[in-house]
Amino acid sequence: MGAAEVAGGAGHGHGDRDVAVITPWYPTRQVPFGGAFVRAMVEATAPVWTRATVYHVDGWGARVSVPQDEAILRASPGLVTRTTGAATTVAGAELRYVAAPARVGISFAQLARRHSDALRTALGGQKIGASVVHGHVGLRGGWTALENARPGARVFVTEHASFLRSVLEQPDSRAMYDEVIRRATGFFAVGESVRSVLVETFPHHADRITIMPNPISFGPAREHPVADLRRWLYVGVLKEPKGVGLLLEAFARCRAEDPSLTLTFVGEGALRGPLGLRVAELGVADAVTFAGWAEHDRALELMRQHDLLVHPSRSETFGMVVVEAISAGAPVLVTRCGGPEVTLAGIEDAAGALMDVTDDPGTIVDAYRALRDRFPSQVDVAHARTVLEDRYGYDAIGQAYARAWFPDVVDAGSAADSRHAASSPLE
Amino acid sequence: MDVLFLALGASRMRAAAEESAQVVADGGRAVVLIEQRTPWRQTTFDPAVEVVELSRAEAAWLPVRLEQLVLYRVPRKLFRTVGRGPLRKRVRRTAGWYETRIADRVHRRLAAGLFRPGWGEGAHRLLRHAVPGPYDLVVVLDPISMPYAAGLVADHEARGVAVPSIAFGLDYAAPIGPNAVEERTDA
Repeated sequence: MGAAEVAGGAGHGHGDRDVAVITPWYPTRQVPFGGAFVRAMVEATAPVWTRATVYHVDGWGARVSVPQDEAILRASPGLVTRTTGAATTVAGAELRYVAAPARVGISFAQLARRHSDALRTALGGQKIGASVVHGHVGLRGGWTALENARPGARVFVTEHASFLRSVLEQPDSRAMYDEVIRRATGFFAVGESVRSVLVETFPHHADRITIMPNPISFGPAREHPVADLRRWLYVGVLKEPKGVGLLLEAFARCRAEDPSLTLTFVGEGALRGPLGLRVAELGVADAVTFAGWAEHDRALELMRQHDLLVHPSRSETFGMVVVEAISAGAPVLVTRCGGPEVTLAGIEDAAGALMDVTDDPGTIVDAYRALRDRFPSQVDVAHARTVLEDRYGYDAIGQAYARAWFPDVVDAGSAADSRHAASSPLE
Repeated sequence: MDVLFLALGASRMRAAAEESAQVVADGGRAVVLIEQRTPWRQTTFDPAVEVVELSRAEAAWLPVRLEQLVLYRVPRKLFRTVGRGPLRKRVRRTAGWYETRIADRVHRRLAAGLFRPGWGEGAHRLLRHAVPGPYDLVVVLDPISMPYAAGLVADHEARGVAVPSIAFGLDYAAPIGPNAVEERTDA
């Protein structure tokens, strides 16, 4: 890298607790839910940093021909250098948005190089001045962080992706991933389901990959506890891997037994249209609401207004929405799809119920009936909430980040309580 | 504030609808340039937002209308006039051959190249006709719009006209003008 110039006002001047976060996902008007966990991370770590800049390098995919792609790549740098505006995000952090054009069909490694190039252009060829650079997602965030961090900066990476296996199946992406883990100061997986995939692929890095869960905001508790499980809620993308079709079928069966039940879908996606048609076919149009996308705060408010979060996803690396529902005082009915069974370990019955991933809506129906029969006497959402706040609350995760980023600065005593975050040595 | 949204790729429709509505709600003028309506059927724009279809604007543009007249409409009329009675079948075949072998090729290779050369970058004259400015801000909303935006910038520079601000989203635009003091927060 040589004598690289640095951007961002020379991070050395901020008590060296200047942090840059690089992420391909962050809430936008186009995808209000996207990367809510990154925003939560920025907010949770606010006591740790003196200055933070979020670089949202957003991959803009397009189905275009190679000549069209070349025309886009020719045009992009000149536009990126003209977009100097920045916004502020949570906790006073600066937010810079960079569009990275990508032709649909290129590999994840090629995509990561495009993200890195786009950020370099946005930085005017300079390096990021922060002493800590944290990338989210191994390649698009991690590679981009490593390539744009200044010499001597400590670079960390967190992997969240539920499609990680697809990334690692590509030879060039796997090789780049190996390099990212090797070069990073610390490498985190958001949960054990992600870590196990990485350790399986890169056994030589096993001791370098540790767990760093997503932080969850535990706001004020629900005023009145849930009395019965009538108002169902789903929050997330409306697509097949989330199990929303099965959920609708199961809801219709349960409603046939109890006409007071309602279901609200919060989110949008490819299945929005088909779900709307199926609602009419099932004769439950008066009981099902499609609320569209909701801002994060609005989604939390809706959780407080509903009685049960049903999350029948086929695969989750963490299950943030599940923890958020419990933080809002709502019990959950959730699949054992990778993340949630780890997230809720030890408090499964207190939080609600777990169910297997199947293709049968009857699984959801049976799990609901069993939960309804033991509710509320054998469910203790308040207890689950307390346990989860200790595990994933801003204090716990913020301290874990502090230990990782600034081990010399953080008071070791204050950081010693967190049992779940970054529990292994990082370096 | 006059804002032009380039949304020719139709891949970030929600952002286009929300951000253009924001501009008119703030008392500005919002023009959204799309390629054609079809992919946008599910998207509702604020009634005060001007939505312009580039394909329609192109078809209505005088040079294109002249090209259509010379290449297609006049020959068709000629073929219809000549192709009566016993000549009808033969002239119909000749007309089909003319359109596919001559007219379409000339249109693709010559005329389309003149009106939209370079797929995007060279379309600035068409854009000037379709969405006449001036604009304070051009919001580029998808990758397909990038070459068009670059062409607009180059066109402004070549004509010595002030280049509007460029942003990849209304929330990330630099403040413009004396009234633009409100700082955007979050996304």
